Amino acid sequence: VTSTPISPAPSPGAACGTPVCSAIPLVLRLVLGGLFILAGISKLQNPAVFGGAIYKFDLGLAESQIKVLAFAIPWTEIITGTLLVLGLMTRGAALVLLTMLAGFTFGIVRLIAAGKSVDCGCFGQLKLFCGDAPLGACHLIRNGIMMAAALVIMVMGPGRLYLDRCERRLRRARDGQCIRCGYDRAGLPPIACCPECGDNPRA
Amino acid sequence: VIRRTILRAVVIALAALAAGFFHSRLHAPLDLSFAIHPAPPAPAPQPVQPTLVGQAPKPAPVPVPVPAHEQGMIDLARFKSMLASPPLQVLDAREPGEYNKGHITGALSLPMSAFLSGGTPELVNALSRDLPIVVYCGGGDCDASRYVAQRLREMGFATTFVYEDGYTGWTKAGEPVEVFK
Repeated sequence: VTSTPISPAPSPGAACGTPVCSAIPLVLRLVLGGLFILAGISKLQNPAVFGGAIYKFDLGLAESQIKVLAFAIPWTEIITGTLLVLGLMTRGAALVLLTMLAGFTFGIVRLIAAGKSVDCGCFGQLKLFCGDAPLGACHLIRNGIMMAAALVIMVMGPGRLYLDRCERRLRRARDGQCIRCGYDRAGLPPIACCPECGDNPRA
Repeated sequence: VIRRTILRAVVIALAALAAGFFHSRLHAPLDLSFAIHPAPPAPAPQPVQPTLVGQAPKPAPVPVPVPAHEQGMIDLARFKSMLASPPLQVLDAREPGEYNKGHITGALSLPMSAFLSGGTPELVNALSRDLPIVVYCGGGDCDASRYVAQRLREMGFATTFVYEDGYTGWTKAGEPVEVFK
């Protein structure tokens, strides 16, 4: 048993200490998650049009694959957006969004390089930010900003108001660890306080 | 943390793919023909004409390209010529907000979203099947006009065209527009 108190393990949302700092990922989560939920719903309202947009990206996919992607991409956006808003599996959801945005951006750069003017269908019928403008700098800047936001969430964690905390507590309880600091309680009586952080399991 | 993040990302991606796959199975088959324009069939190889020695071989016949308007696409010049010989039904396939901000003078609003509920938009019942229809959207390669045109053709409006330059092309050419405030 150590005599000096050991601070509890940092929470997944505590990449920075100040309230303002920890509010940044929260705001980014809500904005980015909300945007992607809207985008996914908008695409699912008319999957045929989104399928047409995928076709024009000229990815060499078969029609049957495009038809599956026309549903899978919006569902990915809805699921990851919801997870970001809830703060559940936050870093994983941010990584999926980052990967997806990188793929979209690569496709847009290819089309711009090929001199093709295509409606990317990025936000379905919503036409957010870039409206009806042909593919160009606006789309790249928009994607760059969203990728930066996803990266910040990945690095800083969920910030405040997140469900990852509940999931972590459940996991530690299941693995026989101290719920507060993750200390392995193997061999300790069930009611004994944690020797690392002093957490009282009865409390 | 990195390992767990990657693992969770894979789980999320697989769950989303599964959701998309099952949704695509439950959904009615997608019709992508408005976006996928099949290339015209390649001309059959011509039999080689026997030529006499010293006679120049006959030139191979040049395949005649199918005019764009026969595939339902028209450009500004043809659109203006159709407008000059009315009657013509002009439809704006953009959303009502964009339509209100500005549209081709005399155009009616028939947004693509009006077809999404599954029913027939009211305006369709007011259109005449005997008169040509021109649909446009934002311009560039926007899909709304093609989508609406395809739905209209399926409903029996055989002479439906898409003005390919859209509203952007129309305003760039300095043609008259209407704004609803």
